[in-house]
Amino acid sequence: MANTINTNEEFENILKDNKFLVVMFWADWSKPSTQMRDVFDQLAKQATNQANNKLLFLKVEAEKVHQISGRYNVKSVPTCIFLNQGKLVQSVVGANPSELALQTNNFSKTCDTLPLEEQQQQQQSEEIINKIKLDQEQEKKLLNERLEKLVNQSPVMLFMKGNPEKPQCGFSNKTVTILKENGFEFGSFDILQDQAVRNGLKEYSNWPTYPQLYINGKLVGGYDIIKDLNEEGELIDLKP
Amino acid sequence: MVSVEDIEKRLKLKFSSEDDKIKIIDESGGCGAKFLVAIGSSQFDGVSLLERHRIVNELLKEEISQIHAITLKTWTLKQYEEKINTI
Repeated sequence: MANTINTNEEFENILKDNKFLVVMFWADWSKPSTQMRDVFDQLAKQATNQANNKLLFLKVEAEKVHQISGRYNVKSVPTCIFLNQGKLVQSVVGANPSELALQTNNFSKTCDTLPLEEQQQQQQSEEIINKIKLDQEQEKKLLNERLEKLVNQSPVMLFMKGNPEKPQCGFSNKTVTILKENGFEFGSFDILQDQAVRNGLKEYSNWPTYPQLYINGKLVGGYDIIKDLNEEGELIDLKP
Repeated sequence: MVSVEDIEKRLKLKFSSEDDKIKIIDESGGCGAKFLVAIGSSQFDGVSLLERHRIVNELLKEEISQIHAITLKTWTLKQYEEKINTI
């Protein structure tokens, strides 16, 4: 059987500790109202017997506790309201037992989802996560555009440590030597000066090390490949 | 710290046939910073030099990120027989 609320204070106290309330407003002078109250008691008993019930059922004599009926704008009896953390979610106005049963069932189901606040927090989290993803995708797109321009900056483009006049690693130095010996004119980029390019180009070209040689915008390879191509007499054929 | 055994174990995931040849030299005197890796395999037949290296780079991704330098020779079996003695 549903609990009877006799004062606003009583209602406020229950509101503090309970999220999901079903409240029946009735008056003893209204026969449809007393009938609905009885149906309400049956529903409450039925729901309370279910193992996972989260609903608390309350009865209020509308004319005795004006603050509650006024607060939720209850203008007639019988009226049944459904509250989620004190907020009106839905209501059944008038003597309609099947509608009352249906909405009680629906309300019970919605209570199995996240409470409203948690839903809002989760939605906010998802929005933040989506924003971060979009930002990252935009950043990567801009970097790739920049890398594409860089690898096409010259017909022959060498990404190395240091520059041709002052190589800063053995493999870069040897690569420069081979290119010069074969009469290549080439541009260069010092990856030690730009961490974003250094890391981005590895992914862009699926090549983990430097130097990297590009001809007409396409990766030829690193020092090992350049050396092998040169020894096979094939490097000269790549000259644009 | 990367070892010759680490690299060999990784390479054998793909180059596991009896015919496949693998030779690995630690050129850093044992401190695991510089390696020469020579592979001879029929899996390289008809494959571009760039793609051959990518295959090996992918297998050794973890190791490459930990060492200073690696030299790769990705040869067909015929090339391996012809060139292995030049190392």
